[in-house]
Amino acid sequence: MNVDIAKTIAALPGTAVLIGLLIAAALLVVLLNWRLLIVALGAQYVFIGLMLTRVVPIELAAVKALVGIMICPVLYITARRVHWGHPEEESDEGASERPQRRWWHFLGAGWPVRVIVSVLALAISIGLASRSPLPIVTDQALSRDLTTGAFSVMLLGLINAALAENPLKVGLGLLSIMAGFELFYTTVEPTLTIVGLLGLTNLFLALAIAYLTTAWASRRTGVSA
Amino acid sequence: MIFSPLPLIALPLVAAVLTALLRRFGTLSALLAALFPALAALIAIIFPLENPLPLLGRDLYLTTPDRYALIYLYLCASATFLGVWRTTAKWTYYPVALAVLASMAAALGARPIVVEVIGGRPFDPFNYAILLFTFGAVLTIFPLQGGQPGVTIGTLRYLTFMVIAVPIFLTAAWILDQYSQSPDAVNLAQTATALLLFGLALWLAVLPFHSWLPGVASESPPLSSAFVLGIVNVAAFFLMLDLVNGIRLLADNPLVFDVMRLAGLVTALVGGALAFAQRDFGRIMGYAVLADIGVALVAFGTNTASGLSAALFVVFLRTFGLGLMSMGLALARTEAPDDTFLSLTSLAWRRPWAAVGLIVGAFSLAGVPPLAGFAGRWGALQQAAGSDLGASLALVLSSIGVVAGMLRGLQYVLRPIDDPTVQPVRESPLTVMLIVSALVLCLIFGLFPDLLSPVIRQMTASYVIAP
Repeated sequence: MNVDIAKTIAALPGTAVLIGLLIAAALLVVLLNWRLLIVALGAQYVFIGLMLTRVVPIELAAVKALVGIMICPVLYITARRVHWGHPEEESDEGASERPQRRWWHFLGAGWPVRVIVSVLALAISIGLASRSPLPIVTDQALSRDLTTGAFSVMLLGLINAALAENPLKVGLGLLSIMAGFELFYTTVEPTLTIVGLLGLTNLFLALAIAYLTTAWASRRTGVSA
Repeated sequence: MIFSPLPLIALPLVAAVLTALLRRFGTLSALLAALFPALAALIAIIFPLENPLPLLGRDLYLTTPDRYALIYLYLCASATFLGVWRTTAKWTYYPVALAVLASMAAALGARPIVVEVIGGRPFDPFNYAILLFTFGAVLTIFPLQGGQPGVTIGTLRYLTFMVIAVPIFLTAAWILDQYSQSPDAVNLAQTATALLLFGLALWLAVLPFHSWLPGVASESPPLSSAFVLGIVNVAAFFLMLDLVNGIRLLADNPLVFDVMRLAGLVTALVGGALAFAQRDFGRIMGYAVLADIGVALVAFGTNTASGLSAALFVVFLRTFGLGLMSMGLALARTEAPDDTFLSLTSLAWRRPWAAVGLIVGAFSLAGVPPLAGFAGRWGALQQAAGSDLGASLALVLSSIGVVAGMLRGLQYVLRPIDDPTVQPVRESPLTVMLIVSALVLCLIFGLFPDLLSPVIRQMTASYVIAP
């Protein structure tokens, strides 16, 4: 029974991993609930790690996924500390008068637009990647999958960064842009120093996002970040 | 190793640790923060620091222009720290800004061990420099936001543009690597060139990627804005010079310089026009710097040695105006809620030194004679006039826009106080000394810009971009 669990997970079918990655990336645009967003971000990093196992050593792919997963607690603690998503002046009286929420309330207002935008972005990036996949590896199908994953995650990240105005959502978009880019760049430049520097960039970015999120939320109390 | 860039990277980092540890002693932290970069600059002035410093499989070494650029950046940082000491009490500024400084020094010094050859020409892979610069740019958001409740828009936009530039530059590096293997693939060369220009536009806040600039200038603490506009943005400019110098694909392509010239012209013109439309001194400072960035690009875009010299004059002489204006704004903000004209009504009577810094700094940024900014603009104007009269007219209009915007604000600043009991605030002698020193330097370099000529001549000679 000496089965390496990492190798077992890495053996998941490539298409399933790609679909998982696209869903996680789309959810980062569609959702507003911070708990779900951070779960989706973690899932996105795991899927990117899984995709990378097909082209780089499993240890390197694991480092990529772990750096991403390390970012999630930073953002989780920040969002929780600043009571992210709580209405600004909600009182008990106000809460009792609030109309009963529908089951889809967790998607937040305006979700149909975000769903449409995400689907369109996915269609564009899949179409672009299928027509002209980047010459990342010699295997055409694998190159296409990696290009699709990288383009989709980057495009959806860009949409998140452009559409949102709160630092947490914009930050998730920026982290997605970097994650999508790393999916492609780690394949073509797998040197440890570059991987390390990119990991450090992600960690600094997460810290910056956490700081800006705290500052943004502190407008309610007037207490400086 | 001692005569390598090590002191330039290590000294700010040591100072960062010390200022963080001594945060309770504000004056001591400030003096250490100002002293260490000044010491690093002095070491760089005395010693050539030409030896390579091996780091993470690379060599860090300084070329002559990068050495001068770092001396300039370190002296500016030192002066900025003194300004911060006299205006704000945020201890976090020093350690973070010092770490940013070390990061910029490493970015400017990052060179590969082996220079690759692309299309028969040497190519200097730049991915380390990009990542090291990005560390610094991301860290800068801490002093930029400055702990102000709810104020994040400008800082967030700045962060977004700096982060988006990373994939663009690194993809360009990868494409250049592909091009080295198939030098006949013209499309690869074109794509890499386009990506590099795009990345540089993001870094330098060239139109239309300038939206963070006025936001940062009006929201952030003025001396933090000055740090970004006078140090980080200038470091980006020098990295641009390194890239154009290192990648012959860019240096040999006249279209690249045409694009830079055009982008610079539009940026200068729009910067001047928007400065005129503002009712906020912070935003005027942001747009004045935007116009200045455009002017530097126009001069550089002429692709001549004298054009490069003019661009370097513009970049170096920006400091005095920017420093004075931000110092004036920082003092004014100690009692005003924001930088709007209305909030700073009668500033000249309430805080005369703040008003002097604000007014002289703005006019220097606009390029009004005989201030320092004029010397830079004059050189750029001559370069532009030599190639295109319309371009020089656009540069004059951009200066007029900033001056006109400032004149509108002056009506408020110079308005007498109705209440005769209000007495002007007495600034501390140190604050007055700082402002007077900056004023004197602003005048000296405006009247005798040739003082900088030997340095700029050496820098220009080291770049091989000009025919």
